[in-house]
Amino acid sequence: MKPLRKQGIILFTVLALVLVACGGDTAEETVEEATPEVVETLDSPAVTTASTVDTGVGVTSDPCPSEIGGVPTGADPSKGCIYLGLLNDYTGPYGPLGPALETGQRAFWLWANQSGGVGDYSVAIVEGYDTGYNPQKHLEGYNAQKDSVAALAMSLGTPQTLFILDEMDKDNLIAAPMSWYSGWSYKSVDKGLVIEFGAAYCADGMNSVDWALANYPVDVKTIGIMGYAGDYGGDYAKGVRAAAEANGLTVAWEYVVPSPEFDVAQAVGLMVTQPVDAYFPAVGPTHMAQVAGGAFQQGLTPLSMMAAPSFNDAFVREGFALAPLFNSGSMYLMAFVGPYEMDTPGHATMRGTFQAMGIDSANTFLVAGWASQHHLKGVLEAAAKGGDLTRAGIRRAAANVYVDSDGMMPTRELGQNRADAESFIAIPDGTIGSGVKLLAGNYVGPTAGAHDWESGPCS
Amino acid sequence: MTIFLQATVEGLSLAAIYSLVAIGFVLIYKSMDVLSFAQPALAVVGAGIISSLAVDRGIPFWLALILGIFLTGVLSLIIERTFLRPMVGEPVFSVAILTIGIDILLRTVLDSWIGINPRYLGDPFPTFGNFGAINVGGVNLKFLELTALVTAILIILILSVFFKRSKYGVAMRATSFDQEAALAQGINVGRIFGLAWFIAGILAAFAGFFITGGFNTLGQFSFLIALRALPAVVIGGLDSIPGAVVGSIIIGLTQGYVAYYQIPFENLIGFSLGSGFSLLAPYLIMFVILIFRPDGLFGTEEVERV
Repeated sequence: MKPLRKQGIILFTVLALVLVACGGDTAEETVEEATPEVVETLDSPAVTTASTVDTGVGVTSDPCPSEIGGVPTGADPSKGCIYLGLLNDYTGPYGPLGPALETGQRAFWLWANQSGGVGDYSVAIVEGYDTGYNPQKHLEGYNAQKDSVAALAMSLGTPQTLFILDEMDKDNLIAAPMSWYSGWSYKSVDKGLVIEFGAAYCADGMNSVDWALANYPVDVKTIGIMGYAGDYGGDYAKGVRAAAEANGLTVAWEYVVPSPEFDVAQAVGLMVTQPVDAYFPAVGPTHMAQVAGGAFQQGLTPLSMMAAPSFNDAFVREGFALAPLFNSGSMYLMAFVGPYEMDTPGHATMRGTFQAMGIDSANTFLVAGWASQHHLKGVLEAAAKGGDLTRAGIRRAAANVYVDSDGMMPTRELGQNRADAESFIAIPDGTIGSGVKLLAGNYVGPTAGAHDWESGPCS
Repeated sequence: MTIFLQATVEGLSLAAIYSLVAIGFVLIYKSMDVLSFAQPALAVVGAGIISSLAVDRGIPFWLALILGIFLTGVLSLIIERTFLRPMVGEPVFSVAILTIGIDILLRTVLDSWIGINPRYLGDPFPTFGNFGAINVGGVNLKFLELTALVTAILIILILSVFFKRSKYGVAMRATSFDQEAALAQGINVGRIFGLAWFIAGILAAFAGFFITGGFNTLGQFSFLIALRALPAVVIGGLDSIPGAVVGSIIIGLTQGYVAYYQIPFENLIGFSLGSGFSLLAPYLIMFVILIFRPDGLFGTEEVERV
């Protein structure tokens, strides 16, 4: 073989390796100019009770379809329709979760429509667009849906949602997130477009440390932090570090790298060479099992306070080798929202709807999907009440409205420029359908309680 | 000393896994002159087949392991027959790009099958000793990793004998040396291509099992571990099986030592190398070696007449 050819192959190998490993996630700037069909401004009258309703893109006087995506909408045929977009993952690292999230969201609107809808309208989520956790595909999906929807029922992923934020701003299109980045609570970041729900990862990080110090059965002096950079791991790590500093703890190591670069050997090596009393992982389930198991094999069982995405209920099911470890009482987790079995009116309604739909699962992501729509419903109701269901009207309503979730989450005032800090703390438990038992709901520790949440996002 | 031995064991275990994938890379490269980027995907697909047979269908694990490895070899052979054979004679870059497409296709199908929960393979390794490990003189030895090490050594020995003593092994060597001359000697070169892919598929499945066995579980990022065998191949030389093994050992040990010694080293020099340095270090070594040995440590040096 000719040397130049061989060197070319080697160079090509390195480049291809990078491409394959990154999966094409690189955020490329290809912004398309958007020209709204309907002229809408934010200078409309303030939200008040109105007798007539202005409508715009994504709101029709025709009724919603009776079924979308194989799921009944529960729409009232005598009412108009508010269409919501859906930027979901059916492929990529979070592809397996997408269908469960979507089912929870469609179930929510089935219940909401059957319970009266939003003013003179029912609500329907259009067919989801597969974004594959890829910012570029996220933008493609956004452009494909923006001209036919009034808001987005879901924009999955922090980097992906940040990537389309300028377009959303131009189009006055709000979205419910499926991520708990602390920036979603601040207009300086989200421009008042992201309808956050649940505690931010950063607040979870603070509360995990405070709760651990108050409740762990051992004295915690030294901790380790591990997570995925550029995603939820970074925000969670910031919170953990802040609480560690506030409590005078020693952070022996902080291993926060992008998910494709996460090296289990190094994570376990850190735990072996720099032993800690507790560690705070914000990684994916596969890495979580490998790290916890690898440390356990070396005789290390430090207490663990997992961020919500680190846990999977398969860990505590019969047949999984590490089920005894996850059921041992040394592992705890921060839940996205209160688990399926939680005793609130909102959870009871959700369980009843799922059962009526024949959904026999207590999966966390079903619950997250359902819960994500509560605040969006509150915003749409406020906009309808104010007589302005244009996208500008909906955006204006989102800037200043109290929303509740029938007790699933604390009542929240959107647009207040401060993140929610009430966390749900749970312990893995294989005897429960959701795989987790709630230990504390709406918990706010001293660090999160004293933190100046009006100072801006953690990361 | 205990830490050093622990890091060495961890590094050698990684090296064993990398070498299984790396030898597959080399076999295909030697026979077809093409780097197959589908090897990491074949590794995780192999693990998926084993999991499907052992866990979903309840087939006894050891039988499922053998069946899964064999079926992965057959799948690899089918890929060669359907996708690669029509590309013989086409530019190598085109064929390499095609293997990237095959890689994406295989992983997309696999990811859909994996679903929400990580998959485990149903093997008994975590039940041995302390969750699959035993402590010897302060050094933690994992049964799965020890098995990977022994398996890799055995496979390398078997392949050595195969290439030297068997009819098809000699035919593969002849084909890799000169395809036209091999054809002239009556060797069915097409069959040799298929055999190379079949063996590479089997090696990938072995690696896939050792990557995802025990409580490691099969997830959507599992293929990345197999992908790390690529720098090992480049270090050793694209067309050298001993080079693939040596390259794997260099990569594995580097990763192991950095994993255990990075922080003490950083404390010593007062400078942070960064969180992801354990995965970066093998590439730094690769670049340094390529500066002095552009064909890799054991690669065949080619002379071009101008």
